[in-house]
Amino acid sequence: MNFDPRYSGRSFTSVGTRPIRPDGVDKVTGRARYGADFNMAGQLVGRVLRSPHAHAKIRKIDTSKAEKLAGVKAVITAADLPDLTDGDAAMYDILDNCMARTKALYDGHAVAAVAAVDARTARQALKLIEVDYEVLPHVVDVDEAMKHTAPLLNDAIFTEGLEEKPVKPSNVTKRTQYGHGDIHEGFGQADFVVERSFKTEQTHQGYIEPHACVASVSSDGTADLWVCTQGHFVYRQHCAQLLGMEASKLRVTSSEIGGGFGGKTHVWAEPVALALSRKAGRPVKLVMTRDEVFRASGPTSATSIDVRIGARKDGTITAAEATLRYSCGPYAGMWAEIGAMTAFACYKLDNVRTVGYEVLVNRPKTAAYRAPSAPMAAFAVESAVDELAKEIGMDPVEFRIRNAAQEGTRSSYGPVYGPIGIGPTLEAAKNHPHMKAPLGKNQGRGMACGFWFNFGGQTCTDLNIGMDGSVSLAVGTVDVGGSRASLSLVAAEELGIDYGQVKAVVADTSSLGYNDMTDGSRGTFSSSMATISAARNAIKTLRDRAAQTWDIPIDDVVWEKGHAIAKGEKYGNLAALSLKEIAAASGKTGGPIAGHSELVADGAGVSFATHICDIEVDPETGSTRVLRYTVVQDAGKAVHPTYVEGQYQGGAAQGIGWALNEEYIYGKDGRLQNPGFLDYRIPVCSDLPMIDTQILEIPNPNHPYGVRGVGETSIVPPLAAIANAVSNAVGVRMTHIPMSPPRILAAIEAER
Amino acid sequence: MMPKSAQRFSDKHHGPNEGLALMVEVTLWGSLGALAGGKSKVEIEAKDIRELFRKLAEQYPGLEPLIEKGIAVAIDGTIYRDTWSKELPQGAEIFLLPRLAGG
Amino acid sequence: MRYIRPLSIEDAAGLLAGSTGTAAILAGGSDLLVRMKGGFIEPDLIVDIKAIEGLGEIRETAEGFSIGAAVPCAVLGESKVLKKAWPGVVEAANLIGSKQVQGRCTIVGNLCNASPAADSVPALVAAGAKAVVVGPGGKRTIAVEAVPTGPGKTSLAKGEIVEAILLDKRPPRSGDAYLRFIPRTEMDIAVVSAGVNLTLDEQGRVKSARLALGAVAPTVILVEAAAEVLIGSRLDEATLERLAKVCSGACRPIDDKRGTVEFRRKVAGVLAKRAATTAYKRAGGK
Ligand SMILES: Cc1cc2nc3c(=O)[nH]c(=O)nc-3n(C[C@H](O)[C@H](O)[C@H](O)COP(=O)(O)OP(=O)(O)OC[C@H]3O[C@@H](n4cnc5c(N)ncnc54)[C@H](O)[C@@H]3O)c2cc1C
Repeated sequence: MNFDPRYSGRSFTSVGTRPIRPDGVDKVTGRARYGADFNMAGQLVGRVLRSPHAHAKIRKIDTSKAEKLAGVKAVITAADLPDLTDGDAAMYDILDNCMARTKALYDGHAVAAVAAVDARTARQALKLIEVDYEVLPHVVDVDEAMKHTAPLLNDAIFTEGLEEKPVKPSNVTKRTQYGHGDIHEGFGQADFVVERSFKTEQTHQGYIEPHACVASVSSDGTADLWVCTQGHFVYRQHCAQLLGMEASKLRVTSSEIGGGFGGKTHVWAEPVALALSRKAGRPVKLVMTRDEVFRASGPTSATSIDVRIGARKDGTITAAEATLRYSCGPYAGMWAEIGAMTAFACYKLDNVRTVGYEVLVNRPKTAAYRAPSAPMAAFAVESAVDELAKEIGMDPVEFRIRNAAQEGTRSSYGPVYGPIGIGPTLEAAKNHPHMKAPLGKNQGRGMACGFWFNFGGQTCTDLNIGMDGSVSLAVGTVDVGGSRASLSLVAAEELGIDYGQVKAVVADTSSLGYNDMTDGSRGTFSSSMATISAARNAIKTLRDRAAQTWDIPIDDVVWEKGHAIAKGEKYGNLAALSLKEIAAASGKTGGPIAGHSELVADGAGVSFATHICDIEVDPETGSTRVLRYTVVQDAGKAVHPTYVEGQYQGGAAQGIGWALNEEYIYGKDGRLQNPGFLDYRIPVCSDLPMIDTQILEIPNPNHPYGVRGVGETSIVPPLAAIANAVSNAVGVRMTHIPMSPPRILAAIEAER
Repeated sequence: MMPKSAQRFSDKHHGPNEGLALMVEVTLWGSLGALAGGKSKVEIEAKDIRELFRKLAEQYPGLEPLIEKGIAVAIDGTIYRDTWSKELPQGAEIFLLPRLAGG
Repeated sequence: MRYIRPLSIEDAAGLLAGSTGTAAILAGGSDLLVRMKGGFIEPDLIVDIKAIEGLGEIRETAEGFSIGAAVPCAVLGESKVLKKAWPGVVEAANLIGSKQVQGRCTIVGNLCNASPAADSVPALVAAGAKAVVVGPGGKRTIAVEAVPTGPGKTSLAKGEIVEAILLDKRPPRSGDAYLRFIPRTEMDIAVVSAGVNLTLDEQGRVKSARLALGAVAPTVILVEAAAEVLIGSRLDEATLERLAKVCSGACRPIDDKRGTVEFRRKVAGVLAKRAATTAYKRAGGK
């Protein structure tokens, strides 16, 4: 690796400004092309038949009637997606989830699919497919599923991670444990102990754009896939593996994306669309309905968490413990484990232990949702921390400052921290005017902290300089939040040119080397590193071309403010050459000028945030109103501050919805009752106050500009901050998320 | 091939051990420890993550499938998921963690 | 599927009466089209009533108001006289959906969709509104509460169309109000709702009263016992408490995804108190 990623402490011209994003005009005028906006001549409509049962054995599927319907061009079942996963258990689960093989494991599980000339015919064809189900008992609640008497989803699963190998199969796929010290000793030193159990219901990322793709498989075995995704390279790998194709023969183009938040890191319908197209010999467009998105994409876990924390009178936490049970849907996951790792990550603890249980239930396969698993753990822990502060008689911010992790602290998940931002966010919150604003009747204030790891990953970027001196930047991380603007700023900064001279695009999988997905808050962190590296490579070529033009050694040419400059007295009469001039002459000096970069952007650096929120509760109805909300978070360096603020606000908005009203509601029959935005209540504009943000910039030592990921951490504190605010407003500790009006009213009535 | 000058440039930024393999103490997270014969700490002579993984797999074959699938290495608190060439500086705290998903 | 846009109500009624298969009346379409898109209904015939002469008008008559079946709810909000006379009915109609939805939807569609949670219906029932029904057998005028018979079901016979909604002229010292409970601030369905209509005597005592509750039974219900509590009172604390109790008791709610039985009972009482207080103030009571 010839690239030095360390923070350089330089000053900036472009980075830190707030220009309009390159995709902005198209998005607000409706020209932008999302997943469902691609069309091909002769394309068919794909539709999926889904199980109406929460748990059922598939005895037989008869597709003959559907196949005979005029206009139907292909009908597929699991038989058309043979198992090519070669012992890769995680891929097998993805395959089984795309199309049920022997059992339908949740309401909405795909069992067959059709491709027909139009939507009406496709719908009719679905009705003609006869599925013979043997309905089995089901379980959707995480605590119920752990009981010995619960119906088993998979009798080949024996809990991993137990001291003794279990003899009976279980819905608990795995137990994990984190921590250090001796909690018994720690609790022995405590003057105060708070112990509570919490529950959070399952939520969906709620992206506005449903999953959509167009698949076109040619008779020579090559294929194209246009799709809305957070990671087209990963989709390519997964689809190629599941369909038995070579990755290079499947070209995947990512569309604009109307939200993903983790839900578009996973294939759902894409392998099905490809299989349909392969069978029909025509392009197939498959767009999920909202109902399908809720029932059959990847919501987050429902959880049940017990927390115990002890502290001395002086406010020092002596021990902390949590047991976390997370639903995974019908397939093994590591969601409780992530909860167990993040739960106490904000604090300096001598004695801590967390135990996680991964639990199978008859619900859709859990997928990542923005800092996956951390918000629920933070809700439980930060609620207990608040309560403990109250018992001791300390201000909740002071109590947290006293116990905050710092450089040198052993984190609850193991490693010792380097320089971190939890302390500064707490200090900023303490000094924020929001903290001192007066509160009215029935109003309460809450605050909470949150942690997320942040990732980097494999990244590849091309920077091409046109003959006219304009720059096109081809990146491989899907732009989910304005990263094309940020990366253009970075390219402009390195090259010393105007932002307007750079145009960034997300390249397809055949035009660029492999890139990991845009997940783990890595988009701008990773691709900016690759862009800096690509720009520096391009600058080397630019200097070389200038040197050729002047006929002097390249070492005598430096690059400054977008110009090649001949260094030293002896070249005094050589006028600087602009990028534009060098580009114009490039045909004669050696051909096109470009800079490329392939790297692993690592060392993303952990991230912390502190949120403050004011809530008013109507004590007669349990209705809530968020009056004021403030986010304080470390960005390392805000490349485009507006979009950093957007991430902070977006995380808070999603957290507010989750905390107050969003939830998957299942009927006794195990079917989802509210698969639509009418009864799955995400906040509308008028539900939210202006969400105030404060960006802290504590440079990340592992990035040339000090950038950290900012996308996910902002969803970690809201559940807890809002629960603390509501609890303070009504005088009753709220332990069940969402705090919908019926739950709040019931809690108030129970206290009366 | 890396140009010569770049090679030199990158060498300059190598850690203090200048390519020499040193004994490092590696801490394993819970379920990983179980696969390494119940150990939570192991000593390995390795200069970078590549060598660490190779030797771990040699000495504790139970770990190989997990290393294959991908695990993360925290070096002094900073998590690395994919950088095999990352050196293990002398005296650094090396911690193995599961590879996590993000949203 | 046939789509027809007749110009007279007789033609419309005739088309519907003569149809074989499923036929549907299209007003604003904000229920019908949603149900068609969701695949819940696939009509063979759609009769769009928006081009029918007079159906898009609000008329002031000697008896009060006649609101045509195709008048969008937004237009009700723009009628100053109607708003002054029946502020509760208008505020209910203007809670439906959003600005965009209100530009299309009608109170007749709201009534005939027969949802127990329909927003304008409790206000109309409290107001004592009547529906003019035209059908193959001629014209009849019925109380609005006689139209819905259960979720999604109405008493209208094949071929019958609601032509207009009639509201009485207001006696002096009258006021009405409508409140609904939704977890969000808009774009939601009432979990519980209450419409109240009061007329006071010269001393500020309630002379006549009607109170209707929504989303607490299979249809919107008129709570006669609530009127008894209110009549003769000046809405003092004790009356309001009794009102809340009576209303909670009158509910026959279910537990569902939108709310629990206990929640609906309790909040029905709370909304009844609050709506009654607003109606009382609008009637000039102090
Ligand atoms: C986004 C959205 C938000 C909504 N929010 C609300 C809300 O907050 N509160 C609420 O109460 N509703 C709400 N609704 C439902 C709907 O808007 C209302 O019920 C509306 O009043 C229906 O009126 P319409 O004219 O659009 O009815 P249509 O859809 O045209 O018709 C509704 C039904 O009535 C029948 N019908 C219509 N006119 C007549 C007639 N003249 N005679 C006999 N039958 C007739 C139709 O055949 C159909 O069955 C919402 C709908 C949407 C899409």
